[in-house]
Amino acid sequence: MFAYIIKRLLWMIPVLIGVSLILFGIMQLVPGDPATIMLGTKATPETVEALNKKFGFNKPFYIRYFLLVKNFLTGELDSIYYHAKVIDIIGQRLHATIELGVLSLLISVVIAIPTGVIAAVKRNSIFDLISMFFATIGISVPSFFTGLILIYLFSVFFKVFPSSGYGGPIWTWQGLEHIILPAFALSTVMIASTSRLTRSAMLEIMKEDYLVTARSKGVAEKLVILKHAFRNALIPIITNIGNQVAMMFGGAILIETVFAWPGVGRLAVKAVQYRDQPLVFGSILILSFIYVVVNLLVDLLYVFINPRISYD
Amino acid sequence: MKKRLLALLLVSLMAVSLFGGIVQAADNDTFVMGIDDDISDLDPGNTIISVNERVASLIFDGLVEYGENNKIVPGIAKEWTISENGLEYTFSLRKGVKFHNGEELIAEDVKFTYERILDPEAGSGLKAKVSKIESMEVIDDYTIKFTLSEPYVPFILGMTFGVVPKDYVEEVGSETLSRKPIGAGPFKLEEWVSGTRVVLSAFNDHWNKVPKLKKVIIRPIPEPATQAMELRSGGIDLAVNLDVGQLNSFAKNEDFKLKSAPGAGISFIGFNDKMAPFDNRKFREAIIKAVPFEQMIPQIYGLLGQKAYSFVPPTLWPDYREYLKENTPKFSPEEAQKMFEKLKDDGVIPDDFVAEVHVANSSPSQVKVAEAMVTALTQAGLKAETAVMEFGTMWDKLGRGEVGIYMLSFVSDPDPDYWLYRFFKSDGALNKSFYENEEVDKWLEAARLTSDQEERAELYKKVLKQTLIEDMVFYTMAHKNQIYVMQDNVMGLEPGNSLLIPLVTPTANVYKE
Amino acid sequence: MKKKIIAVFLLIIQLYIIHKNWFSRDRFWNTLDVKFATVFSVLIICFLLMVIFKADKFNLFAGNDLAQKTWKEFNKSTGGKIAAIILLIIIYIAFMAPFISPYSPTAIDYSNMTYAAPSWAHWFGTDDFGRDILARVFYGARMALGVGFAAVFVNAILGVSLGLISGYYGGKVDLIVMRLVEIWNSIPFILLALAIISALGKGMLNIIIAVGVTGLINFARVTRSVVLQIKEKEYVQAAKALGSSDFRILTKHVLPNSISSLIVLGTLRIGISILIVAGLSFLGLGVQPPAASWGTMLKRGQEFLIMAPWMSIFPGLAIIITVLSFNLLGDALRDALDPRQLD
Repeated sequence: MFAYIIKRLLWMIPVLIGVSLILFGIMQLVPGDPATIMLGTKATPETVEALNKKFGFNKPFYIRYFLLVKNFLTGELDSIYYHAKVIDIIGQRLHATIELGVLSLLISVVIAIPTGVIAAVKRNSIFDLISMFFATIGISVPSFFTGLILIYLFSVFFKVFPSSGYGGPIWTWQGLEHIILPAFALSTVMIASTSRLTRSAMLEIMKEDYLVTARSKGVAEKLVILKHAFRNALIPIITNIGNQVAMMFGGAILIETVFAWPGVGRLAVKAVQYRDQPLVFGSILILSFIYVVVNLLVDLLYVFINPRISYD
Repeated sequence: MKKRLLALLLVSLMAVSLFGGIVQAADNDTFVMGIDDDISDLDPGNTIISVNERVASLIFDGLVEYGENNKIVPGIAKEWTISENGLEYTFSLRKGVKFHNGEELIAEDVKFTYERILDPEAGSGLKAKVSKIESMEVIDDYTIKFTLSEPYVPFILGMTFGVVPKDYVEEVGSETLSRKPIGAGPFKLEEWVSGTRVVLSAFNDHWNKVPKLKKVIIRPIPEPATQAMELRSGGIDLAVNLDVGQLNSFAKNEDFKLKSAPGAGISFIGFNDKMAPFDNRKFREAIIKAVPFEQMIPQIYGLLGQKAYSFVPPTLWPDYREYLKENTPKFSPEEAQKMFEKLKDDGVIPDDFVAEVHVANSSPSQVKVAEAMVTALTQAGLKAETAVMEFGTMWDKLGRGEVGIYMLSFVSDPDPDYWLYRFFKSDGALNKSFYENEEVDKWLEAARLTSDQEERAELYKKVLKQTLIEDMVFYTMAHKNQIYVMQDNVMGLEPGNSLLIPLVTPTANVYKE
Repeated sequence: MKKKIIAVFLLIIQLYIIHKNWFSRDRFWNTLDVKFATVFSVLIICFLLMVIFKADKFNLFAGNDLAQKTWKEFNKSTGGKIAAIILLIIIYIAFMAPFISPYSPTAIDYSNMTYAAPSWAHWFGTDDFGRDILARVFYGARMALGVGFAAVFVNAILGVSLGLISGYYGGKVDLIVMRLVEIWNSIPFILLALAIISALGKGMLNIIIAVGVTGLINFARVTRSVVLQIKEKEYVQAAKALGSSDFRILTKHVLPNSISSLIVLGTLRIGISILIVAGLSFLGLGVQPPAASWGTMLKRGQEFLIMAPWMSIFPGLAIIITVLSFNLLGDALRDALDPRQLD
């Protein structure tokens, strides 16, 4: 087990190197340089040249790549647009991304799994039909659209929640009221897909022989469902959640823009727009890192849930 | 999903009952304002991005300031003299002007400020305005003399740049200045949470007046739709970058005040003078004739702007609009169609030619004009497409001369030189049309050397006539208004026509009722 | 009999539409749009005539037990049937847009560029340029379906090839290919698409590429798992022993067996692609105006959310209904084809 974790942790290194190479490659293809973009209509050839020299854009590309990697590792990477250390900028925003992600994840798990289980147990009931109908709609709505509708309803019309921005850490009241709308907007897709998947996984398991046997032996229905069926259904559910978390960080960029949420995703978009290579590098590597860590946690959860799986 | 709805309902009910009306504007001492982008850097020597400039202008004050109608009025300098030959500017500073850290602002600080901007290594975007400075001389603590290499009348506008404290910057370095700015402006930086808010508080020792607002919170809200809703829900007091659709929804609403100042900035269409078939004047004329600009621009811009006829905004001399308006080609689709056909017969327009109208996706109004323009061109028989792209991509293509027809917008300070020289001069930094005309070059240079405004106006009129009418390399679309939408209890806030937000100026001191 | 009555009814409608366009409005072969619509109408008429006069030709599945069973299973799912019908209608709209749109999607009345609420003349209202939203939603269908199908096609080709290679060769190749796919997948897809579009520039093809190369991992994983199962089957071993080339084995034996999983996955991915394109439009990098596309319409609608909500409601509904239909169809196909390998 321990060896497995070590192996997985080591595997992150090639992943991050791969991501960094891909990013650097794409950024080489993107036309434009930060000096001209930032200066815009204020540019003179002289200042552009001075800035490019300052940012090291006059060096050959392989040297720039190694400089990026080196500075990233030593925490010396400087953002061009923000005129500060990449690590500080990301540090100021990472917690917002994580809070939003974790809360959305919690909301979706808390809502989706019971819904899915009940829908499966009471197959073809009204609850099943209605909840699955909404779930299917949930994965069909563009998330930014959901976000705007939520803002309109809950902050303009009912005036219940603030419409945008970051209010503070989640445990403060200010922080909580600011995070609720974006978290709901972000979790719709995940609620929808997880509840659908939970339902189908449960149905699949409930057909299995051993459950039929358990039932015929007179084990109480509730116990059958909770102890046997649900436990076995958890594996595909967790796999799906793992995949969804990755999708969520992608989708979060749109939600962050709609809600003016100071997350790393929006930072990365800004960085791409301004061709701020160090910031692109830093912010996307962080997002990829989160993704890899989530996947690792998912795999470890398997072992926890089903000790029969062994990775040694 | 019943559960989800139920939970949502419960949570909201709880929130309402416990904290009824939690969403309310801050108290009357606090002013919350939404701006369109992240603030990234508050070093006044580096403020090349407009949001930064807007915030930095509240923290820093310059030697001179803009007063009503963009007249230059005394700021930190209480008076100044210009030598006969226009080469020497001597400023005498007020005594007892304090920086936020309590130190006094003296002539050394001013010298240091401009040295930083002039440093070629720094690559400051402000340098172009003051590049004529040859030397600076500190005469005493309260007097400084600038000597120019050649007369340059718009020079005085470069004296509006925020003065930074020399000792502080030398001690902590430029990077810290950009994160923890200290200036002599009406507000000092209290807190800055990147991407979330910048909190400023009133600087009670300000040399001119004590700000009535005790606290100013600046929140970046990039999505205009969200900014509009935030204003509507009372989360912010002022929104500055709404699109026309949102503006309309506030215009007739009595809970909000909508104020606008006419025409700062110019949106224009440029043609590439070195790329076929755009280098053909007939072709350019046909394009302009094919599109009903005069009809569509007022409808597209609405409250946001007005049709432009001159390259300089209406608030600025020379007043040449009537002449230009008379002589710009008028919309006549039949004529345009005939011209396109003839040009096709003559082989000027290749058979498979598609005109790509390049426009940056950061300016929705321009994208709309491009959209309507392409429709009109197609109707007149010229195949056309929009090419909406990121500003960065477009700027790169422009620089490499790959763009035949493009839209740009531009805002600058109140002197025609800033508006015309860079675009129309053969080697002008923003001459992306690669326009070359010796006479125009001559006029532009001449206008820099004389300080007689009437003489300059005549020269600029010639330039405008040559570029907009004779050569038709540019077509002016709109002057964008500065539009503020605010809660109705905000008092004394009048948009000026520069991008800066005049909360505390020589003429204004905003407060909430 | 019921079928025939419906077919006759549809035929009359179709003939009426053709009559209107070909003869009254003189639209037969003028532009590419119209050519497509004309060809499509002729096909539809042929099809309807077949249904009416040669109905027995349609018992294609008579001899094929598996297909028949699948068809029966599919018929059980109400959602799937409804979705299939809706999608057929959307496809019909996409091809026939020039014939059935009440107005041009791009023509602007320059004297009156302003929005108007839904009315008899404009069922879905008009947008801020005074263009008919119904017409734009119709034309938007072709953009959504076109980009959606094309992107999934690119996605499938790349993903399936990687999955085949990795599953079939196994060992080191498998390890390397799948790891590369994983690395690719760990970059948030919207950012990847954003950067790719910035790099490639504007244009439909580039949007298709950008959306098509994101989310490769789905196709690759599904294909790989099918290959791993089939590889060990006797007939594949036999074919190998007889000296069939790798390429032949992959295309003759492996692909046909994975097709059902791929169809299901593809159906679901089309929905996702449509959403991604809408998301890119939101970030300002979608389909070039004035071409009608739902994502850009929705983006524009936001500006007028309060003054003219219909500008966002109808394109929004169009996206939701289309994606929903693809999802429902995918679900129904999954049940009908029963590809165990998914999930």
